[in-house]
Amino acid sequence: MNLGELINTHQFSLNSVEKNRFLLPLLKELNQFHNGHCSDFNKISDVVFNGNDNIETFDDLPFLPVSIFKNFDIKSINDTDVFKVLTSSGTTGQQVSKIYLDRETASLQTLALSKIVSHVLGKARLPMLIVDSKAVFSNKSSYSARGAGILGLTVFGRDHTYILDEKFEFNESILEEFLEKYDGQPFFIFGFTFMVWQYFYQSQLQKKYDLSKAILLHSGGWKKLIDISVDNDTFKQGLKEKFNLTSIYNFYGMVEQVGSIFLENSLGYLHCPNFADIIIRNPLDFSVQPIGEPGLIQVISALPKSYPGHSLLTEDIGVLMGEDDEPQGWKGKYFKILGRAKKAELRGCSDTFKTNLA
Amino acid sequence: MNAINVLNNGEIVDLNETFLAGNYLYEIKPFDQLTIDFLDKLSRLLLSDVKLKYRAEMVALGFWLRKSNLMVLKTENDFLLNSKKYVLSPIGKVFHVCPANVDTMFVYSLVVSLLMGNRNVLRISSRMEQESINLLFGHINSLINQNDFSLLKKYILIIKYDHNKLMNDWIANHVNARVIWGGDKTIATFKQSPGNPRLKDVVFSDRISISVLNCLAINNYSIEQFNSFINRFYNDSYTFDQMGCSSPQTVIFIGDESEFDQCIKNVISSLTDLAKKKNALDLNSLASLKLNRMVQDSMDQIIENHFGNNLIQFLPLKDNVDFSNLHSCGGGYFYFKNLQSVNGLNFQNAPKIQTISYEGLNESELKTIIEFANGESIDRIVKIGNALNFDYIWDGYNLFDELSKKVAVI
Repeated sequence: MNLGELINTHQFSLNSVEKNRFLLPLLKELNQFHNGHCSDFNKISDVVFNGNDNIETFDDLPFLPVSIFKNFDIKSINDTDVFKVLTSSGTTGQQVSKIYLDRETASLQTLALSKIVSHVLGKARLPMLIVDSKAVFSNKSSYSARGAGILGLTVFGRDHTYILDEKFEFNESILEEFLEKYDGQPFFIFGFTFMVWQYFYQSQLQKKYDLSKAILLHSGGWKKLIDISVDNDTFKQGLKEKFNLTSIYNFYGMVEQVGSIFLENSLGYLHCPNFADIIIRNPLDFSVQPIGEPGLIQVISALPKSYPGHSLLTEDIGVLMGEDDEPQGWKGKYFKILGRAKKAELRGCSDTFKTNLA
Repeated sequence: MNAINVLNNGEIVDLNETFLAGNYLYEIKPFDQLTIDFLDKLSRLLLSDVKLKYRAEMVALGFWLRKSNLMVLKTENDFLLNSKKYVLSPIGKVFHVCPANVDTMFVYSLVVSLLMGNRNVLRISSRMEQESINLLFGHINSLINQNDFSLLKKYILIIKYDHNKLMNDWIANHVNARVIWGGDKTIATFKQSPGNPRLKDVVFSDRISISVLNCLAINNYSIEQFNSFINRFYNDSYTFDQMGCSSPQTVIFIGDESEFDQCIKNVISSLTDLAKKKNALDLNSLASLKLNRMVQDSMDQIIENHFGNNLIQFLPLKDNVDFSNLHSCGGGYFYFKNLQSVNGLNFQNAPKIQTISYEGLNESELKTIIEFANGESIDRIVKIGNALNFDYIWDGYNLFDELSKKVAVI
């Protein structure tokens, strides 16, 4: 099975044996490709992973730290083949990740993303409500992260309706008009997790609205909500009570592996699609953690060909919750995110010191 | 110049009127009985504070301040105090610039300066929030408010202000000496305020330290000796997350291949156990920190591969890498080299090297290292375990000497 075929399979359908049969060979090939086409990757494989080019299992894949794309320009294609450079910026002042895409990788990303999104939205493009403001595109500091995320998903909906005004205030009349227009029809809502909570759930409304026909996709992380003690259960319960909104899917993904997203399953955990996988690594020695043992999340994806991002160690801490036994029949591994590794704060004689941890 | 808040006692003190610019007497002399009594009382407060009991650096400071130790310092500096050529006097007003995120080192420079009878202004970074340091200042304030010591109020002023060139200029123009901790960047900032031409600067810049181990000697240690060595190495390296300028960045293993193999294996396994027990650092952060540095070092072609785990990584340096300038990412990330003998080292032209800490060296090996110090490089040679111990001889200075004036009397 080639990569195109793998992406086109019914997602969340391959069990561990099938993933070893279909996904692993693609990753071996990809790893070899990057070794041959990216001298930095080759050096790192050599020094940090003892030159292991003999990949027997997923566990054997070398992994780069995600922040390598912040600190260095790293790619496996010639400059002339660069079609698009994705950037991410977190908080202002932080360094930006730069991901170099050629046409092939960019189109694979789009295809993969659409396969996962259509898994919950269906094939038709639904009317789309966006829990954000158009101003997000003009605001430079937040554009690349939130704006790019929104843009990436607008292709899966139509009649894009932003429910926050230019001042990021909730506009009830927009919601009301939208619901009148699409009375009784299914529609799609997208927003960043904390935006959905803060600007949608927590908004003061004059009337009561029934959003039982809506499908909500949300992403972006829980940090801001955990700070105010809102977890996934509270989030879902709240939206159900307020709007009768029950089709809610969180997903996890990153600019360093666009297209490769992990979608919330019926248990509320994040599920690996057929063309991606995760490994939880013990922070002591990077050994593989079994189900139930927390560690750093390594994300594996068959998509990144123009840059060596097929196996990355994130700074997110997670725990594997199960494999191949999701009650609705989804196959593959599923996991939960527990938080993020703190930036190491070390002491020292000097007032300032360089740290490469982004 | 506007008034400035004084830390901890809530008083607003105007530097201009009360401290630096006015006319006043120097009431105390070098090693004055009043200063010694004050420091001895401070020592007792520190050593009896249960909140400081587990802060090794505070306990060390407490012991250092005991009267018996101060008398040892006095004897060691007898050549200054009882010279036939001169009478020792305070240098005057001393400005201490304290680093934001470390330890107690700057407290020693305050104490030495106070023992010489100087008036001291300490600038504390507004970012400094270490609880133990605030407790220390609390103790200083409580003592200074006692009648016996109220005279010393004029000798210790602790201030906070954000970096401000006008303020730096003003202080530089009103003091006789500055002691600048905090590394190259801080030094560069204060050098932009040169002060009057006679202003004396004692600066502590960014330095690198190195350990030299004799593998065979260590391999022959009894279990007790080996554990003691591991504990001492751990304290030198991990107390300040390997970011102290005296903590080793590179370790030189002296020995043949099999001696080296045995030694590094034992060191990694015992240090890992000890670090696990101490459980001081967040492992997820350390893992990310070290992986990032390993990746960078691979790309820069500094290291060959790596041994150990994320509590302790040992990284063999490629040939021709100049380790006299190499600072690790900290948190237990050690570059290393395996050499047949100490003769393979050459430190003479490496002015960045501060401390060589050693273990198991025989007399002739130690002598060779001491000979390397006859030049631009190396200010301290200590047995492992003593790297962080403050001495008034630091970075090549005798601070008592630096912070005093010699009045020629003929």
